[in-house]
Amino acid sequence: MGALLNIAGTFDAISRNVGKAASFLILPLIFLIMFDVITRKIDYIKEHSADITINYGFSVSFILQDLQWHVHGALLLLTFGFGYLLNAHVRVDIFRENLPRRKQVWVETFGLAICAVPFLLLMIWFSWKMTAASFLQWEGSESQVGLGWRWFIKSFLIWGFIIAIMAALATLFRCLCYLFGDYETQAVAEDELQFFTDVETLPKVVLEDEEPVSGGHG
Amino acid sequence: MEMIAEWWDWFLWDHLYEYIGAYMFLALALTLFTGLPVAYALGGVSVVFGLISIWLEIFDFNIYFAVVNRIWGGDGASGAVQNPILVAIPCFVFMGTMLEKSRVAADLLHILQIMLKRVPGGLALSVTVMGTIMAATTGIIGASVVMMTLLALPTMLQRGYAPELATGTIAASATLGILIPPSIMLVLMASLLAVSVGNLFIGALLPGLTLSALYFIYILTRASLNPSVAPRIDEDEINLNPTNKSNLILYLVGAAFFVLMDVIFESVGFLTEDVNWPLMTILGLFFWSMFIGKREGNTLLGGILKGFVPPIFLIILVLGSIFAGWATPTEAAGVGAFGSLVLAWVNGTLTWSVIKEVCHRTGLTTAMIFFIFVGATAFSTIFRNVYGEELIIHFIEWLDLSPWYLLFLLMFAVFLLGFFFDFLEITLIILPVFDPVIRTLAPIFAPHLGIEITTSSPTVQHKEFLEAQVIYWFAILVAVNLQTSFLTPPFGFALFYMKGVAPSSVKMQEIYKGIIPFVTLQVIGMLIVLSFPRLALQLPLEAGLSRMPWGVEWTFAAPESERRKIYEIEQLGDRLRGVDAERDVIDKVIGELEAKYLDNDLDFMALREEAEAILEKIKADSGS
Repeated sequence: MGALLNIAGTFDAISRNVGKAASFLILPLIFLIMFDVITRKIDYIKEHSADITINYGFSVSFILQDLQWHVHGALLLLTFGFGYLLNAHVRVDIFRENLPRRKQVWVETFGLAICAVPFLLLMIWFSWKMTAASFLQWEGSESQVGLGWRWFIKSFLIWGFIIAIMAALATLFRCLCYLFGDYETQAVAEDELQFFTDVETLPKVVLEDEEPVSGGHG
Repeated sequence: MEMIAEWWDWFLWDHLYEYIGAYMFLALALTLFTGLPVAYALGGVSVVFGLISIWLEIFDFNIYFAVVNRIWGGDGASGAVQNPILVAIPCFVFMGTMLEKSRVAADLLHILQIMLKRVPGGLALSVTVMGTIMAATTGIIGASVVMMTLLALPTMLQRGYAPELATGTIAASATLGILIPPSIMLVLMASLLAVSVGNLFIGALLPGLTLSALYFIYILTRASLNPSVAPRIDEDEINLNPTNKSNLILYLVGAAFFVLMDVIFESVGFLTEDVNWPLMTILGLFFWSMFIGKREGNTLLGGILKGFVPPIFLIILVLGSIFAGWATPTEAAGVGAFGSLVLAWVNGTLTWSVIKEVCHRTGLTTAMIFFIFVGATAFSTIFRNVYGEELIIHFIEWLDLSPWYLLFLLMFAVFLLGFFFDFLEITLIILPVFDPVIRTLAPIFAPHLGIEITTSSPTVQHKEFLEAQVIYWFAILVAVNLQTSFLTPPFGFALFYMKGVAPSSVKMQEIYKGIIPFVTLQVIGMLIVLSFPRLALQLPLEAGLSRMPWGVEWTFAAPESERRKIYEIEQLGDRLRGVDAERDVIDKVIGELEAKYLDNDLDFMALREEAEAILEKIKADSGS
């Protein structure tokens, strides 16, 4: 049981840190869009872009457009697990909030084992197939002049789902420890589980000079 | 024993084979109510039912390849990753979250309160106006309800407002964000229904403002009739310093300078190729206002500048650039996000810890939205491949309702679902199912929208145009409907969020009681949009966002015959302008001809003859 908790801790740390790091991708995304919008009108830069297209066969504006959704894709795919660990994903809580903690854990265990893990495994496998196909065909941009190497960004599907399944497994292991562990493991697992309806893991809003306030129904 | 086997055979190969889509929906409902994350519920149901269908040989295992492919996107519309439209979502989330951190909302409420102090119910009206303005900057229901409750409710209760009126006003105003653009829900809807985001944004503007006007009128009437529910603010509670005259003059001079600069440079054509002068003017005015606002500090002028300028700056940046055609909605979102960074910097709240927290929160919200997107894509792919959509269309055909009743039925379904589910689930799961139904109804609703296909040979283009218009109208109806649903007791989402952060003296019964008038107003608003579709469709048309194919007539726009006349005059004008003569003279001649032609004093042949005569005359004049 202790080993299970340790594995859960490792998985948790990996997916949490990857998610945290990936969420900073929003900043480059904003600057990319700004750069695109500002420089599009300036003749001097337009001429340079045209030279690049003529000489190297890449179009700067297409690359920028492609880069925007590449960054967006990496951002959203890599944060799935992070979102689950911090209980940011939407739940329909109207029945669950009346259940005692132990029953909530049972529901989550079955849900993870029947729904989440098989679904994510399937997604990982078929993302792998899709990425492999993209690599073998050496798929490039649809516009011919945009960003190539499509397999690279497609591989983020695999990574994203692997990180999401790590978060799901971390929670599943903790649920098992909570349900079947001895007294100590149970306490540790209960402390680490973050989906109970009676505690709010995410403070909804922090206004200046005030304590974090938690929202109700989620 | 044999009977059971027979029944099992019938169940499996006849009943289940045909109705598996219906069972899928049932299973989804049950799984959702267990309280699992919605994305996992959707994914799990799609796995279980996918496996059953594979066993029944409806399709094979490669269906999941199609699922991943649709999650990826790439066809330009439906996917989550390769979809330039949806890049707007993290940007809008970032913008809203960043604004929450800067003191924009508090400053705005403060100055509104002072400006409306003499009006009955001034504080409640301030909250409504603030909700309307801030709605343009955030789009997440929970966040905005919580923010506005924390900001306004304690003050309102302290001033002696009736708790019912206070809570009702806040809940209704805070949920406007779902409708007033830029709203995340509208981005999602546009992407799923394959219509233009910009168009939907601009179309939602007037319905949103109508609702806010309805709230305004209601509060004003109520507070005038019964001042005890909304007492006025005492004069001595407002401690403002008098406005510094020299600063006011300085400000006006500076503002005039920026506007003049724009007008002069635009008319002279100075660097207009390279620099977007209107944008530069807006930026200049913004920084100038913030600078003077800082210098003024706590005075009326300072308050107005610090309160109004930041949110309006952002609205102009986002909506203006869509409206003026400078940027796609996605780019406008990026620009808005950048604008919120600038605002936080000007307000002095841009520290590393704030950036870090806003980024993390943006990541979490983005993950939440797109994880449901992934699950919903899996669900809808499987659902479509077990012929679930046909099942629904058959069901609706079996109901045999008239189109209006059908529309009301769909609306009622959305309303009921809004009790239990957030807009994400409803837009992502339910709308794609309704989409084909609405599209088949499009020709029936066309006369109501004021569209008439006058050409005798309608093409695919006409069909798409018609469908798109009906979809815009429908999407905005759904948005108003969902907002109503979030407010309606006993399950309304917004009310629970509000109860979570309201002072404990406020009882749930009071919140329920207070919201009822606003729900009534919502229903009135919905009926207005239902009966006057122009409200949603006119503005995109005026802005030139709805491109209309020839042979379509808007019964409320200029009739086609008139449009054709204007077109002909323009053609004629181009020819006349080609002549080497004074421009003013030609413009005058064209103007006279146009007036005569539109008043039917001339027919087209006479018009051409007259124009030819004028041409000859001018040529003769210049020749001599």
